[in-house]
Formats: sequence, C-alpha cells, structure tokens
Amino acid sequence: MKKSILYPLIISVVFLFSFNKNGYHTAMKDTIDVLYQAKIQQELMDVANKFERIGIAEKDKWLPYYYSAYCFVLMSTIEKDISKLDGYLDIADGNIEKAEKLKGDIVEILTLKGFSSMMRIGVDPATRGQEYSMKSVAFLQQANQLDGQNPRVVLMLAQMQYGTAQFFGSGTAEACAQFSNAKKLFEEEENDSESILPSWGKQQAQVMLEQCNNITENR
Amino acid sequence: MKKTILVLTMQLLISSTLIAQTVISGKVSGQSNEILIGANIFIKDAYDGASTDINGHYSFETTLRGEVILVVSYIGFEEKEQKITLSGRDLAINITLKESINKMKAVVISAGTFEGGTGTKSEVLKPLDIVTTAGATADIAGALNTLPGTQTVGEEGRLFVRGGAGYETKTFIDGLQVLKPYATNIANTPTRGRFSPFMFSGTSFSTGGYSAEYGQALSSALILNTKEKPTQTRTDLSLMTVGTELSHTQSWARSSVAVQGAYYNMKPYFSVVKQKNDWIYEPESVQASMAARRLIGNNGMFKLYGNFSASRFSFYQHDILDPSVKSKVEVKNSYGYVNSSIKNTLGKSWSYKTGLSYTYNIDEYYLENSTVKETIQGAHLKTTFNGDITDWLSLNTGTELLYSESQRDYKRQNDGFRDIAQYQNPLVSAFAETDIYFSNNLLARVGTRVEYASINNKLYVAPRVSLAYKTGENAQVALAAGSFQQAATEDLLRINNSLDFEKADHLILNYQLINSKQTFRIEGYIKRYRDLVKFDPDNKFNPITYTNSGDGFARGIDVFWRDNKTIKNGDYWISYSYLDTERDYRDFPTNAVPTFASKHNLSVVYKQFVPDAKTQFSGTFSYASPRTYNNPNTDEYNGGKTPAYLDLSLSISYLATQSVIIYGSVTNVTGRENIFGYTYSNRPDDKGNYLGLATTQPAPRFLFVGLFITFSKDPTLNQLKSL
Repeated sequence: MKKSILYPLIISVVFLFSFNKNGYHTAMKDTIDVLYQAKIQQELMDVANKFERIGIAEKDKWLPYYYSAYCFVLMSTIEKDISKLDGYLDIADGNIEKAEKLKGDIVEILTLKGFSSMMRIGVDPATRGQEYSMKSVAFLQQANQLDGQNPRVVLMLAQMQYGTAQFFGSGTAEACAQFSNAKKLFEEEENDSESILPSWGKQQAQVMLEQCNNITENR
Repeated sequence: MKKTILVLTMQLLISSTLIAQTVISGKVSGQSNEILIGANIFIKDAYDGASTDINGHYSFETTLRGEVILVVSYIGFEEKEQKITLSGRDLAINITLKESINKMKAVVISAGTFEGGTGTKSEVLKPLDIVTTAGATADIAGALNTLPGTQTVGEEGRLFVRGGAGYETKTFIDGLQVLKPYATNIANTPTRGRFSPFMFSGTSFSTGGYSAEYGQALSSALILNTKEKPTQTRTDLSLMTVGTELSHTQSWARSSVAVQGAYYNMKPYFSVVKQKNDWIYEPESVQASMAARRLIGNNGMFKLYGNFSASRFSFYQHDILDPSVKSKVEVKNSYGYVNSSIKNTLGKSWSYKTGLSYTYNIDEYYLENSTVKETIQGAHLKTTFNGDITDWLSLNTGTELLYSESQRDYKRQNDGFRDIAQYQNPLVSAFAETDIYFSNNLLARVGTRVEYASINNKLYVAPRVSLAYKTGENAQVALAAGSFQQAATEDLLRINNSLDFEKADHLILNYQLINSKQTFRIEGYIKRYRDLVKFDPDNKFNPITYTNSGDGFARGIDVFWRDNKTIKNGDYWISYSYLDTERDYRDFPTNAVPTFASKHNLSVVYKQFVPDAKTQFSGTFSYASPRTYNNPNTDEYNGGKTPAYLDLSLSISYLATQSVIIYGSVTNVTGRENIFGYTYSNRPDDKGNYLGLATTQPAPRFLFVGLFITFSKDPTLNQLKSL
C-alpha cells in the first residue's frame, strides 16, 4: 500500500524535475525557432524579452543572454531611425558581457561583439568608421584565430571586408570568395535540429553571395 | 480501498495543480499615461511572462501557485517588482512605470559649451571636423574659430573668446593645464597650436560658464581628451610642403606605445611663395612626441604623454620711419610638456582620476645689442572623484596643486647691464560640484571652486551654477552663471609679484535644438570684468604703478546652425557672433574697445564628399567687421577703424588608395589684403607725426600640399581621420 502512495508521488516529482530540465531546452528551442522567423522589431523585442526571462530564471546559462543580444543586434539592422541604433547596441553589448561572464563559447561571443561593433559604424560612418571597423576587425580576428572554421566568423569577416571594399570603391572579389567559403562551412556545420547552439548566418551568406554574383553579371 | 482513493485524489490534486492555470493580464504605461510597447512582464525566476503589444496590453498564463513576484521591465524605465498571489483565479493588473534617469537621454548642461567627439548628444564639432575645415590648416584653434563666440584675430592665431583677450582662454589636456599651448611666433604673424588634433578623441570648447573643475581661466576653457588605447599596430608617414612627419604605433593586448617625430622647415616654401618679412633664417623646428597607454584591471587606464620641440628663426626688423635702418632679431624656443594620469573605478558607481602635468618653455631673443631669455615652468597635480550618490544625484570633486614660475633675464651687451625679473606662484585649490536630476527634463549643476594663492596670500571663492530644462524631445533651454578668476599674466607678475587675480562674472542663456543631423543654437551672454590690471605706460618697470583698478564688460549674442541632412554627402555650418565690449585695463587711459574685438563675426563652412571621385571638397568663408586701433596722431584712444576682414579658403582631400591620401589647401583665395591694425613709429617724424605701418598677412595666401601614407597589416586603415 505504501508503495502505491509513493509511486505516483515519485512519478510526479520526477516528471516535474524532468519537465524543468527539458523545459529549458524546449523553451530555448521554441524561442530560437521564433527568432529565426522574426522579421519586425516587435517580434524581435518579444523574443528578446523571452530570452531575458529564461536568462533570469536560469542563473548559470549563457545562451539566453547571447540570443537576447543577438536579437538587439538584429533590431539595429532593420531600424530606420539611426538615432535609435546606439540604444539597441548598448543593450546588446550589456547582454554579450553577461554571456561572457557565464563562460559562454568565446568564439561565438567574439563574433557577436564584432557584429555589434560593425553595426555601430552605421550611426555615423564618417567619424566612427575607423574606430568601430578597427574594433570589429579586432574581435573577429581574435575569433578567427581561435576557430577559423566557424562559419559565422568567416561570414562576419567577409561582411567587414565587403563593406570596406565598397566604401573605398575597390574590388569585392576577395570578400565574395570568403562568402562562398562561409557558405561551404555552413553546409558542413553539424546540423542537429534539436541543438540550441548558435546556428544563424547561412541565409545571410546566401544573400551576400547572390549580391556578389549580380555585381559580376553587371560588369 | 480508502487508501487507493486517497492516492487517486492526491494524484488528481497534483495533476490539477499542474493543469490549473492563472491568466494574468493588464496594461503597462508610463507616468504620463504613454503606451509602452515591448515591456517585459514576467514572474521572477520562472519562464512565464509576456511582452506588451502595440496597445500596451499583455496577457499570459501560469501554472504556478501561491505568492510570487511579478517583474515589469522596460528600457529607459525603472524596473518594478510586485508581490502577487496566484490562486487559479484570473488577475488583472495594470502597471505604471517611472522613467529612469538616463544620462545619455537626459537634458545636458549646454550653456557655453561646444562638445566634440564625446559621443554625447551635445556634440557639435567632431574630431574629423577640425582637420577637414578649410582655412583651419589642421589647427585646433583654427577650426574652433569657425564657431560662434570667437573673434577672428588674423595676426594672432589664438582663440579670442567673447571680448576676452588671448590669455583668457586656457587649454587643458585630460583635465590638466597646459602652459604655452601655442608655438612661439614673431609679432603679427599667426601662431599654431602645439598639439596635433589627431591626438584627441574629444574636444570640449567652452565659451563661458564652465564647470568648477576648471580654474585660472577668465573667459574660456578648451578641454582636450586624449585617445584611449589604439587597437592596431600601424606606421604613418606624412610628406608636406612645410616638412615631414613619421609616426609608429605598436599595440599589444593591454598596452600600446606610439612615437612620433617631425621636422619642419619653411625655407623651401618661402623661397617659392614670397613673404613680406625680411627673413635671415626661415623658421625651422624639430618635434618629438610619445604616448603610452596601459589598461589596469577591467576599467582602469594609465596614460603617459610627452611632447618636446625646439625651433629657431631670425629676420631683420625695419624701422618704420626709415625702412633702410634694420636690426637683426633671432628667436630660439625650446618646449616640453609631459602629462601622466591614472583613472580607475572605485566600486560600482565611483571613479577616480589622478594626474600630473609639467610644462617648460624657454624663449631666447638675440637682439642687436641685447639678449632676453624668458623661462616659464609649471606643474599641475590634480585628483578628482566622480560618482553617483543616487541615480539622480552625482558628485564631482577634487583637489589641485598648481605651480608656475617665470623668469625674464635681460642683458645689454655694450654696458653689461643685467636685469632679472621673476616670480613663483604656488596655488592650492579644491572644487566640488553636484549634478541634480529633478527628472530627465530638468538638471541643475551647482558647484564651487576655492583657490588659495600664497603669492598675494588671498583666498578666492568662485561659485558656479547651471540649469538646463528640456522643452521638447530635441530642444532645451539652459542658464549658467558663475564667477571666474585668473592670476595676472606672467609679464605683469614678473614686475609686481603681489597683484590680485583678475575676475569675470558670466551670465549665459542658451537655447538649442539638436537632432541627429541638424543643430541650432542661440546664446546670449553678459560678462563683467573686475580687478583687471592697469599700469602706467610711462613707468612700465615700476611695480607701484601696477594696480587691479581696471574693469570692463562684454555682452553679445551667438548663433549657430549646422546641417548635414539637406545636402547629400554635404555638411555646412554657419556661425554668427555679435559682440559689444569695452574695457579699461593695462595701459588704456580710459574705457575703450580693445583692438582684438570686432562687433560682427560670421563664418560659413561647407564640406562636400563626392563618393565617385573619392574626394572631399571644403570651403570656409569668414567675415569680421572693422577692428579698432590706436592712432597716436589723434586724441581718441583706440579711435581708428580698420577695414573689415574677409577670407575665403578652400581645401581638397583625395583618397588615392585605401592607404594614401593627398590633401591640398589654400587660404584667402581672392588674395584680399586684410589689414589687422597699424603699428606706429615710436617717435614722431620731422613734421611731428607718428607714421603708421599696416599689420597685414605675411603673404596674401597660404598654400599647403601634403601626402599621407599609412602602413598597416589591416588594409582598411588610413589617415582619413587625420584629414
């Protein structure tokens, strides 16, 4: 009889615990899926808030802050009012720092730092161009030295190279070669559909490659 | 059986706890009832929560039970926590958030100050602007002269602010004073600043009403902040018509060292472009500087900077009455400035900064029958603490030791006469200033500066107050008032050591409208001078004739408009200053308009970047209304009027490759002969008249061509910033 009391209790408790454990993974996975579909500020803000909630509940996880930061960087890419960019990127940088303190994957963190610095250029290219392009390249080079096969590192470096070449009106061929290198690396990247580790960038590489091809065709 | 039923009931209860959901919904708004979109509302330490929609509404479900904490957060607002009890019954909770004090967004102290490169909203002139302004020839003072509140004094090259003489503007690097910030020049030819604008990441130019942190300046403070640690190793080479510069920066993970050397010689240029001066030895100088940076911990930084130079030139001075009579003048200068500082954080919201600067300057004049050696040395030790007491109250306080000494050693060859005049002036001072945020829209800054001078055993108290009120999203009004003082200049103190400080009271009212691409500012001011030094020109070397009995006033209106929105890739600004001033000081016999003051000053600066040509074109037009001069043949003191000053300068910078830039500029394109004033013969001619000689530019135009090359591993680097 006693067993009959205990069993359901144990089952319930185990269920509760496993729910909580898988809860993190599931919640993250669900939110990440929404993030990759998000197209407007409001959607990205909602997703960022959700990551923030998970981050506050899970004191030792770096990914929620990483993704929240990524959301804010993305918000800066689609924001039309330039005066708002710094506000988004300040929050992004704050969250990247939290992710770094929680000992997150340093290559991914450096890459996101490089991305964020790159977006700061847009606020005022004439005066900020040099400072932030230097910062961005420094972060990305550091990431590249640690893992030259990370597709996001290669993609962001190519993006910097592309922007610089365009600014100075020199050839984009080198940058374009790096985009196709990034694309290759994205294809090779292990594609575990259940993983919650960063996997963004494939589409961006594709878009940039198409842009590269258009330039060659126009010439 | 009973027990089985009990178990089942328990299980049901447990499951029902899992299933039973509470719906929490409501609205989040700001204090003035504004809708907050995207606020994050959630149960602490749980995933349950939601964001507010475009109407500020939220709604979410939770399976939790009992007492929990509901958290609401929104960017720019104070986070709010509220205890709620979840019992399965739906809850409707409306929440009002209070705006947090956000110093980046909040109102800023704006009266009197032009910020540059600080990244704040009040930024007006960026570092890049200084070097791309035509006519400024990459000189900081030259570029600042296109801002309102400054007077064009073409034969000086220094900053003259709001009816103040050149000595009334003080230069500070990283908060520490710089003595003799301008190169030694010959009378009536414009000087240049000793510090390259490339060194600085931020410039704050105050034309009055500045913070209690800055002392010993009657009219204006030019506050320059050196760059933080560079991240890239690079070498730069500049080849210019006036000389050559080579610099190298080595950067490591936590430190960096930059060294720079330069050699300038005007001989090649002067032999091509004829000058009015009768040169024997054209100006030649060598200069070296170094800058070291080291990060301390997470937020700290150690900075060391040194700048050393030596220069010489000689020429013939012609007598005004009989130009065939000439005498030789030779001038040698050596200069050194060292500045070292440490800043770091103390806990979460406090930081300290301590620094020491040292300047020496030696000018030697070799004249036909005598030599004069003028030496000045000064040190400045300063420690400041800065932090937030609460989020609406911050404090900036510090103590300073300022020491300066000066000596003039005069020797006459024929009779061996020698005269040494000197003084030492140690000064102890302290200041405290608080910023009080009544809201994001209203800020008050209240401060006091206390200085004790042992030279005249006097204690000086200078209270200062500023108020700023935000009248719209991008608009604000500001008011500043305060008292400012400065020790008498070295030439006066050397003769009379116990002179009182000269004083000025400022009252400023400012309105500004700034959005990201356009700036409009209008500022009115009244300045009253007290205790200005006077002396008897016929008894120049008698200390007794030196008194603090002079006074004066300056009042005016400054208008500034800058727009880099209307014209694609174009940028222009217009500055207008109206000035009404008179003073009775130095050898003035009465109240008069000083010779450096002009009633109307206008500058129009235009820059256009043409991406296809990879070229930036820039033009600057300056106008200054007639200035006074003293004609000894008439009774009225400073009664003469010069013609108006007009200048049109052009410059062009071309980005040849990613690492090579070609730059060219020409001042006074039209070649107009501007007259700055007249120098009169020191004795009358046969008919009893003093003969006047117009002070003009040494040549109608100044042409400059330079080639700037950057060597670096990173192909994106060039000296673009330097142009």
